[in-house]
Amino acid sequence: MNESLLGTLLIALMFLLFALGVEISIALGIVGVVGLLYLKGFTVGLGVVGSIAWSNASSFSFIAVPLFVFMSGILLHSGIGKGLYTAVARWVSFLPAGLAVASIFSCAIFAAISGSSVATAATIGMIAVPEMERRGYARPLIFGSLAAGGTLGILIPPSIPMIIYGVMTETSIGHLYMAGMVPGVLLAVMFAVFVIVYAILWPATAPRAAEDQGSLADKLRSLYEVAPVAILIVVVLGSMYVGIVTPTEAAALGSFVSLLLAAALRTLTWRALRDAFHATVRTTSMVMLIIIFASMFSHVIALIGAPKALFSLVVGLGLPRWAFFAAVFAFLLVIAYALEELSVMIILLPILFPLVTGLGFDPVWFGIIMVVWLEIGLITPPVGLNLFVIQNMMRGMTAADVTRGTTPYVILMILLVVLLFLVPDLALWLPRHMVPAR
Amino acid sequence: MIGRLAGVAALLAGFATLAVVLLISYDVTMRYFFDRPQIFVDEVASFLEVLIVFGGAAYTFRIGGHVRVDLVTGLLRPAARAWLRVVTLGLGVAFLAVVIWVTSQSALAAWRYGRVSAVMLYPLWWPMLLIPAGLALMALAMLARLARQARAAAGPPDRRDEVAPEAEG
Repeated sequence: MNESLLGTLLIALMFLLFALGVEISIALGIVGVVGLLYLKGFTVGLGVVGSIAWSNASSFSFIAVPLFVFMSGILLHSGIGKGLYTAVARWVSFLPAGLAVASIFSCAIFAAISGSSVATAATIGMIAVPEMERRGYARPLIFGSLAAGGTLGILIPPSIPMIIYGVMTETSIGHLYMAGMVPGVLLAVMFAVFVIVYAILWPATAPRAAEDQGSLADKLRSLYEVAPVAILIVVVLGSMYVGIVTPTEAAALGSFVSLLLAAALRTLTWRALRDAFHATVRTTSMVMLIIIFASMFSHVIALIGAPKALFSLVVGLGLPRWAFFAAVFAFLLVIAYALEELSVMIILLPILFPLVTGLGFDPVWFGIIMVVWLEIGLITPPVGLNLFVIQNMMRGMTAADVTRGTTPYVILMILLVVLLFLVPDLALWLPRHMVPAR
Repeated sequence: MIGRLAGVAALLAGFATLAVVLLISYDVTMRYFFDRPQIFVDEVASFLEVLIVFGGAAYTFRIGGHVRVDLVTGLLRPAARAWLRVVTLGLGVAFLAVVIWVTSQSALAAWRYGRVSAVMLYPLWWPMLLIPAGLALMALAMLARLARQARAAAGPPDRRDEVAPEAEG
């Protein structure tokens, strides 16, 4: 059997198994094992399976994944989110749709200690949803600002997807973190401008009240409430950028300080700890099994020479840069409707990354593009995780409410991708000028 | 019974996470303030990572945490969906059996040849054994689900559908 036929058959088998409803990790594993047995024979093929399982599962860099999920679990019920939201609301509530602006900015700040979008949306949403409902904000406004604001969790460092991207493609996680900073802040500002304009055009969607303006003294006092968040930002990001620790170590220190803060705030109960354990275990196990079995699959794809073949095929097309990039991004957007995006990233990176960087795109820049694409996936039905998180907090959201609430943010994110394509330095300037130790 | 075992394994994985947090924080503190890096930490943390991933596999399966695509199966009639799930669960168990066999062979070889870690020379067979052990527990959980699923598929027509995952907790 020639190699391109084998590759096509294996990829067809993969999609068939996905469609039948086999777990994504297991489907990838089946395809990988079948391919390895065919190409390498029984003894060698199975030996590769064993060594891939061990080397991925015991990789030190991947430890940051469970650590950031654990930290988010501890922070969720710790009360740290409450202090943050109230404080930010004090400062921005003079604006039209002030509480929605506060949601977005709280998410952006919380994103600097959270590596996960779901955790960011859940932590801020828990406080912000009742506040905005009490004030009579329109449901799509509440929903959209939190679901979309939450997605900043993975663009503003730290970021679990950036860790996975960095390890899989051997790109510096420190550089990826730095590169996410400016686009993250820019996106937060774009979101905020959108809700302000929206509330100016339709004032009834965001009724105003004088109650939470507060005096200057109140505003200054509110800064005290964000102290725990500030401490954590210094621990998680500061320690990395002065070069004391690696990204994995920063995650461990952040978790440790979160435990201390939760203990100080008297929210560190056995229940909170157990919930954090469960969240950690389920996310880590799910993601890591996909990574492990996907790397068997991608090992086979590499043996066949698929990335190289695809590369010469695409070069042969002679597309202009923008057309190639537009085609890749459109493909990603379409495929994201059928599959959960993080899995898609893990499956596609071994093929996509050599192709994209081979054509001269920057690896760090492409990492940021992938993260913005993941953000889009988090708020588009049918499998947008952030949608589920906020829907669970708001009774009676209809599908139409959800779509109306999130579509504008999807458009803004696509606009950001276009901006990043036109001005790559939005992402790349900072990592070029501020280089972390490792 | 399997549920309880999966719960215990998940809890162990949870405590492993806590242990990693404490170990790495200790290492960083000792290194930065006392200039005494604890070189054993990196390897122990990597072993604990294996426990987190595979210790949690069965629990994650039980609560439906391993992602699947339901776009196509959602279009089927419930009875067809019920039987299809019997097949895919069977496929999953068979695949896990292969991986369990392979990874336990690796662990056995590591034990027989006395393979050790690069820095601290820890024996590698026991962390390697965590992989087949965790996957075996997951396979058992899948078998239990398979039995329930087969009963549902062959049972009264109004209950022929994919059985729901267990509640979290």
